[in-house]
This record gives sequence, C-alpha cells and structure tokens, in this order.
Amino acid sequence: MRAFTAVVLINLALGVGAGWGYLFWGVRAARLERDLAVARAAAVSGVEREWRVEGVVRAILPEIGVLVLTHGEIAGYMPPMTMGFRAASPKITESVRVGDAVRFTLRGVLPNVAVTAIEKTP
Amino acid sequence: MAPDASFAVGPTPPRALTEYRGRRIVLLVLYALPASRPRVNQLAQNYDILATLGVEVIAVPVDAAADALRALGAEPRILFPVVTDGAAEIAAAYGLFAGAPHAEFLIDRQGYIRAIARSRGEAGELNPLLAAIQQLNEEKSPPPAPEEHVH
Repeated sequence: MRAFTAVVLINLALGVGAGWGYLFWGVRAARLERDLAVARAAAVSGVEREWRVEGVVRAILPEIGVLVLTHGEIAGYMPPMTMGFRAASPKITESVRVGDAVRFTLRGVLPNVAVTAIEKTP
Repeated sequence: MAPDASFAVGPTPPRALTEYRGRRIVLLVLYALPASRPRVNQLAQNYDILATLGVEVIAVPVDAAADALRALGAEPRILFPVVTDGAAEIAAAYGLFAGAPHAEFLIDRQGYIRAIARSRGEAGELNPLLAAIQQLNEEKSPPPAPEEHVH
C-alpha cells in the first residue's frame, strides 16, 4: 500500500511538473511565434523610401564605397549629424570632394539605405 | 564661464555651445591655416581617443572662411565639427583670451574654461591635454548651476 501511494505521488509530481513545463514553454513559444510573424510582416511590408537632403562632404572612403556627410534632418529617420552612408555606385564617391556642399538622394528600406544621387550646391 | 555662441556646420541647424553643458567636455580650437595644420591634423588623428574620453572638438577658423572644410582638405579625415557659420563671433569672443595664432580652450561640463593652450599651431605633445581631460573626468560633478534669471 505504501509503495502504491509512493508511485501515485511520484506520478502526480511528474504530471504536475510536465504540465507546468508545457504551460511555460508553450506560452514562450507562442510569444516567439508572434514576434517572428511581426518581424516577417515588417520585412515584407518594408516600403522603400526616398529623401532629398542637404549636406556637406566630410570624408570619402572609396575603398568601401562610403561617404561621410554632415547633413540636415532626415525626416522620420535621423536628426542632423555627421554620418557615413553607403554610395550606390562608385560614380557618386568620385563626383564630389571633401568640403563640397551637396544635395543628395538617400533611398532604401530602413535601415538599408544608400546614396543614389548627389549634386553640388552653390 | 565660457562665452556662449551659436554656430553651425554646413547645413545643420545652429546650435549653442551651452548645449554641451552637462554632457560633454568641449575642446574649442581657434585655428589659422596654414600655421595650425599640424595641430589640427594631430587632433583629427586622435579624435577617436578624445571622443572616447567624452570630449567634443569644435574647430573654429579665425578667418571665418566659408570654405573652411575644403581648406582643411581630405587627409587626414577630420570628422569633428568645423564651424562654417558663426566662426567670426566665436573668434571675436574667444580671441580676447587667445593671444596667439592658435589657441585651444578646454571647457568642462559645467561650462567653465579650465585650460587655455596657446601655440603657433605645431603638433605638440598630446599627453598634457589627455591628462587635463582625465582630471576633468575624475572630478565629481557639482550640482547644476541655478537657471539664469532677472529680478
């Protein structure tokens, strides 16, 4: 009788433990699935955007295709600052010099944006 | 207290020197080319160290040249703010204390000028500057100054 009680209690403990485990991991897995779905949706629905921005060329890094620009506000993306941007083509880095005041076009799906056009301003 | 002034770099909106109070130590550099080029280059090459120590370098051409960035050239890469608008006012205000072709003002986080280094613009030792910055970083911050007001 004692052995039977012990077996029942052990089985009960195992059952309760498994139940709690299922609940904990089940809830966690469901939350991760939701987050994954949201991330996938955001990636699919990522809209390409374009900005025209005033700036001044601070450095040119042709070896990695990057322009460092001190720029004005980029609406909905970033405040005025000095920052490196990927140039969409080598022609862009070749067409300007340090100190040039420029107007450039930034295009892409955030945060993957690149300078697609640039022109000097007076 | 360090004189306040408004300045801009390229197309960025004007900002005031007082905006750095409570946030960053400022090294305000009054420079004149070509004499100051060695020192400006030295600061540019060590800007990462200075930035890590919480310092913002603000370079002010005393001739207030509109093409100051172009005049400094591409090498070495100068990524700290170089004033292109408002330089004349800053040069006039700080020039009173400069007394040399090249002058550097170390302004602490409370907005006080804590050191002035005058030179001809040659690349000197960086260690004294780093030591002064380190000393400022080790100081306990006093409570903020009361707001300026008029009765």
